[in-house]
Amino acid sequence: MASAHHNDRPVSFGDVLNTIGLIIVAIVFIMPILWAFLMSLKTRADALAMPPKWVFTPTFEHYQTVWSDGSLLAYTQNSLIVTLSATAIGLLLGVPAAYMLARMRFRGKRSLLLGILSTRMIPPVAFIVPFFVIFTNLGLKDTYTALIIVYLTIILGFVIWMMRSYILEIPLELEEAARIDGCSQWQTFRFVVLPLCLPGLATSAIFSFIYAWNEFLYAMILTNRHAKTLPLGIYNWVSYEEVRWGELTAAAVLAMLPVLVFYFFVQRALVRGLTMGAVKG
Amino acid sequence: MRSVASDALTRMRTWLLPASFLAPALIVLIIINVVPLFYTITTSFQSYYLPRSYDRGFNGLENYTELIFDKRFWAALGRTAIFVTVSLAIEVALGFGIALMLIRQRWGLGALRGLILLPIIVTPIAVAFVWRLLFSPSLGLLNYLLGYVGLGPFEWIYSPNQALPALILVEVWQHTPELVLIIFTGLLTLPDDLTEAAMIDGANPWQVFMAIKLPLLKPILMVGIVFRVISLLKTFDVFYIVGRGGPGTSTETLALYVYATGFSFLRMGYASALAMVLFAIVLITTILIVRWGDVKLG
Repeated sequence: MASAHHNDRPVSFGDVLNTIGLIIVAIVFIMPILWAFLMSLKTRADALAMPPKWVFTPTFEHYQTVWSDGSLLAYTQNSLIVTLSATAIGLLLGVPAAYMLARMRFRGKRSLLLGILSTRMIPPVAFIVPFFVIFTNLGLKDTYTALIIVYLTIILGFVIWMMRSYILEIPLELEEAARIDGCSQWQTFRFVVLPLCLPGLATSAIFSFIYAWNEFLYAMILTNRHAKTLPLGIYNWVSYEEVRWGELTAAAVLAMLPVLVFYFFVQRALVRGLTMGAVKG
Repeated sequence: MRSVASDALTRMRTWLLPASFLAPALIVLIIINVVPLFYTITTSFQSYYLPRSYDRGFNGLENYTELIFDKRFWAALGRTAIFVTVSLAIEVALGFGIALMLIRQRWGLGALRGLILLPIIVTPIAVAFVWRLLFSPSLGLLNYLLGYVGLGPFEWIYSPNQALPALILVEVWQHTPELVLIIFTGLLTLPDDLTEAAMIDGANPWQVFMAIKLPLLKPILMVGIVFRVISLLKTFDVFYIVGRGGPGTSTETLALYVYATGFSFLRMGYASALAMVLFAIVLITTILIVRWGDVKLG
């Protein structure tokens, strides 16, 4: 079995078979998303046709219905505010901490790192009772603040782990050279380390964004009117529209749109994100 | 005198930046993780029925003894175990198969990989809605396509017997790509010369895979498995949106039972005890896999 970078052998029957197999696999994985997209462009009559129509005149009426219903627009705005704030705060707090955890030696560092990693093991349902009660008592239920704080439980630990793994790969000599040239600790961090870990920053930001954008459970227990995010908005909105497949799929497509846009930038960084930087990707 | 003062000053300077870099993140981390954790632990020893909050008080181990005799809890636990093991087994097997195909692929690798990995990042709410449509018994695409090969029609999520397998199908669809990606990345780092040497010595591809590739892949594969198991045990969104644990309680996993206890039956104390059990299961499972698989984290 030769690997992808050995292209010097002649094309074999196996190569053709492999290609056909992979195309089938790709179709299977893409089909539900493609199907939703097609559904969202079909008229009601076309959507209910059996056998399913693969060729039809597309219509944008469902997107218009979804969009003209102002509430979804408000939910989108809420989602953007919460997601961007949580991501920004996560990076602001997490990146400096990651730098110190990569470079400093101190007692208890290993336990601290394992502690941060173990935040990933906490099931969100284990926190719904305290968050619900505490935020209700503080009068913060249904506010952006509550959601941003709650999303940081996931984002902050994630950013610290991910950025630490990126910073560990920056050669220490570069920082030492900067110090010899008279840079302060802060200047070294700001002008040497930060520019070198830009890909890591982008990866952390995009993963934090995707997490907060997709989050459902916390939003469900902590919001009801003012701060309702898009996933929850769609969930409630669609419960009434159950049979209207066109609107349902149009809303679903709109919900995944921002994440799909990011997707083409993150593929390379995905492995790192999936294993929280535990594996050198 | 002066030197002592300037020593202290330098020491403070060298400590000020690290402290100001670390402290804010650590303080926030502790507040947002440790406080709720202790709150859940405390509440798990209390009787706390939300509509009668004034009656809230400690009741010792009552919540924990209750769950020993709670049939619904054991059923949910069993379902969770089935869901996690079956999904993981299928995901690992398919993940290997697809990753091995990808590594062998000569043309269009980037595009194929891009399409196969797409489900990972799709919003759960969208996933759940789309699959609800696909599962529709009369108008869904799945029954239509399976009809071609003479299978079905299935009732999918509308039948107590088929609902859990249907949800496993959704789970496998969405998360197999994660293992594909991890295994594929692992395969890329394997040295070719070892494989080639073995092939020259007359080993067949299967032997090469079992004797050389698998052991070399183990570290990265185990990390992937640890994170998959954690995520499978926590699964909530798609289960909740597709069927709220139904029909009946046929797809109620532990995570869903915690939610129902807290937010449908409003029994916050008992929900907290159930949540602690789930957390303990995640923790113990993770430690066991890390020990048994000799996983190097970080």
